[in-house]
Order: sequence, then structure tokens, then C-alpha cells
Amino acid sequence: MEDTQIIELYFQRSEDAVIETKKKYGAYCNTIVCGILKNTEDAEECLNDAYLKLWKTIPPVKPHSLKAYIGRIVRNSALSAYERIHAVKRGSDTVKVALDELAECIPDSSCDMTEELELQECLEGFLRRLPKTDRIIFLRRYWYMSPIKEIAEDHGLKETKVVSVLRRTRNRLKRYLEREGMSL
Amino acid sequence: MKQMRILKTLNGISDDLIEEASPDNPKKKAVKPIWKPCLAAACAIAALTAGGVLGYKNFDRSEEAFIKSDEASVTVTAENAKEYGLGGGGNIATDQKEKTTVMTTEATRQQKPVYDISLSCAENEIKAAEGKKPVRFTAEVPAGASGVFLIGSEDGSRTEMLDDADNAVSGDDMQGDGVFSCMLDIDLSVPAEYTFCAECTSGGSTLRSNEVTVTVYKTFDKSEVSDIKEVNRAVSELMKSEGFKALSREEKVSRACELLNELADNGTEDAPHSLVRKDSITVSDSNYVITYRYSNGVIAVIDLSEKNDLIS
Repeated sequence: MEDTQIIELYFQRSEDAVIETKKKYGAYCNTIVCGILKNTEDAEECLNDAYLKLWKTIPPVKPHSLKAYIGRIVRNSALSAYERIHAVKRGSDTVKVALDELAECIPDSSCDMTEELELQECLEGFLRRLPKTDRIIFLRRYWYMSPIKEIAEDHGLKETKVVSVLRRTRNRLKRYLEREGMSL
Repeated sequence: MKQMRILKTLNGISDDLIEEASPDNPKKKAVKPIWKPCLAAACAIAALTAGGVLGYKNFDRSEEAFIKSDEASVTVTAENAKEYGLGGGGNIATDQKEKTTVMTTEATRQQKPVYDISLSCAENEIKAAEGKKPVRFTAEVPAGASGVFLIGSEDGSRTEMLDDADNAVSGDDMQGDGVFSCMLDIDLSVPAEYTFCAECTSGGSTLRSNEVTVTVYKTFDKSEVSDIKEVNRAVSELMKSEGFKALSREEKVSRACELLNELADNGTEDAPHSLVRKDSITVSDSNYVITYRYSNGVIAVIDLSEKNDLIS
């Protein structure tokens, strides 16, 4: 079913909307959640929350891209759940490793918190300046939280190559954020 | 945590970037090095020649059939050279017809040649501003194609795309690489979506490309952000108050609407002007969700159904 038809179902308040969304984007949402939360129960709860949020926000929201919209909601819920769970339980996982990797590209500054929108705009600008492959690899790692091995397989690259692309991109991001006067 | 902030902020990137990197997009296959089929071909030809001269059969029946079969060979020309990792449309070795036949494996042969036009542009989303901005469009066309044009879907405008390496004018990087480019001025004064496709003539027929959309979007200025924050602050303050928490769900809806109406009429002490569009405040009876628009038209939602959290 086309996205516009699914969105129309939400506007009609038809329960088929959620069924069709799950049918079309269930696997996609699952990939995002499982990249962040390893526990299947947490992941399932997070997915249910996300579908509920989708149901409550459409309408009035009419997303331009349903895939990106649901992706954002799912990722946001999963990151919040991760924070909640991680406050209690600490361990080594993909998100923790991704966070550790990102730590090195954050400028060291004691300035006040930067406006969310400015930072977002800055990151968007940075991503658009990247070569397409580097951008996709960066987002696969830090948006979809995909493991290095999986990114390498999907792009027909060696794992070491992916690691090196990510390192280079993080260094570029650090320089870019510093140049733009961003502090976190 | 700072890193978590970056991860969360990344959530707000544009739709096209999220879709572009989606794990369920078609996987990119590893390009097999061209020297392998070349070497295999050279060995096969040498072996066949030696076999012919010496009268020996160096291959068993299946191998011989494979080598002799038309299916086992593929012609590498400027048209499909890229597929074999040659880049730039160059040939490995050429005879007078600029063609060479190379033995290759079944797996390599099955890679589909890219004969459709593939159109892309340097920027899919641009922030609205004064004036115009030149945006570079590139189209990869089949070898021998001519008359490559970028066509505006709305107005039917036709802009010629060139493969002339005149980067400053046409935006093209390399001459003769089959990638045609053009620079088009996009009007940034009004938020809008512009859709384009490319068209060319090849072998007497007209080929069309995929569609590419350039979106000119508006971002909030500082006063708009400040107004949104002021509304969010007032709403959060209300929802966190003990008095509000003690109310029944119906009373909470009523109290939240009162606040929104107050914000629409008088604003707050710090921002004494209308912060919410009064006619936009609506309540969903079924699930206790209040929707409203900030003064700049952006929709916001107060969810009182289960958790008293603010979604905007």
C-alpha cells in the first residue's frame, strides 16, 4: 500500500492504518529498535509506544515521508528507553560503543548549551557536504546504529575500510563543529 | 550526556537523508576486480590456442562448452565499462572497433548494465532566503545518448545538460564520461518544491530519468523559536504543577485549553503578544489530545491520555 493511502487510513481513524504500517514498515522499525535495544521485550514495548504515538499524532500531522517520520519516532522512543534502562544497568553494547566513538568529535568547551535548532542545522549542513558513501556509512552507524560488520557487508567493503571512513568523518565533524562555533 | 545529545539531534535531519541511508535500501554489491576476468580470458585463449596447435584438449567437456559458449563472454565497451570497475568509461584493451571480448564468470555477467538515466542533484533541500541559488544537476546517460535536457515537471522548462568539463558554467567535472550536468538557479524567496527529470535521445528513442525534487524550506527565526519555547515553558509549568496533577482528566483538558486561550489572547509576562493561534485549538474527545498551532503555524500536541507529556 502506498504511504498516502496509509496516511489516509490514519485520517479516517481506521485501525487498518496501524496494521498496514506494521506490514510495510515493521521490519524497518524493528531494525532501528534492535540496533539500539538488545532486549526483545524492551524493543517490543518501544515499538508499541511508537505505533501509539503515530496513531495519536496523525492527524493532525501529515508527514511528507511516512518512512522517515515513523523512523524518527521509533528511534526517539528507543533512545529514550535506552537512557532509562542504561541509567540502571550498564554494559557494553552498540549504542555505548557508538557514543564512545562520537565523544572524540565533540569540541571541548565550557560554553552554554547550543540551541538545538542551530546544532541540528549545523549537522544537516555537515552531512550534505559529505560524499554520498561517507554520509550513508555515517548515518548507518549513528542514525540506524548498525554494527560495523553489517555496514561493511551491505556496502561490499572491508570492516577496516568502514572503520576508517567513520574515523575520518568524525574528525571532519569535530573540525566542522569547531569552525561553526558549536559547543555542547 | 553530550554524545547522546548529538544522537538525539541527528533525529531531526531531513527525510531524504534518513531514507538515503536506510538499511532496507538495495545492497551495494562489491565490484569484482577487472583483472580477474581479464586474466581468466587470457589464460583461456592461450590454452585454447595451445590446445589447437598441439592437438590437446586442456579442458573437460563442461569447461570447453563454457569457454566456447557465447553466454560465457561479455563485451566490455565504453558503454558498460563502469560496471566492471574501469571508471570513466575507458576500455581495458581495444581493437579497431574499440571493443574487446572478455571471458567472465556467470556472477559478473549477471550484473545488469545501467542503461536508464540516473538523475541526481547536489542539494535536495535548501533553506529559503533572498534571491536564487545555483544547484548542480547530474545525469548519467547511456553512451552515445544525445540531447540531454533537464525538464521542470511543473512548468516544462528545458535546460540543456552538458558533458563538457566546463565546471564553472555547466557544473560538469569531466568531459566524455557520460555524466551530463547543468546548473539551474532555484528561487529561494518562497518555500516550494521543484520536481525535475532528465530526458535524452538514444538509439532513436527517448529515455527519461527518475524524478528529483528540490525543496525550498523555511526555518524558524529567533523570535519564532523564542515564542515556541515560551509556550512550551508555560505548558510544561502547568503540567508539572501539583494542582494540575490532582485534577481529573476532563479538568486537565479544560485547564490546558484555558491556558492555550490565555496564551492566544495575551501571551505571557515575558512575551506579551499572541503566542498561539486561537482558532487552531482543538480537543479530541476520544483520547484527550489537544492540538494547536503556534503563532507561526507549526502544529503542537498536548497528550493527556496517559502520560502528561508534550509532543511537538
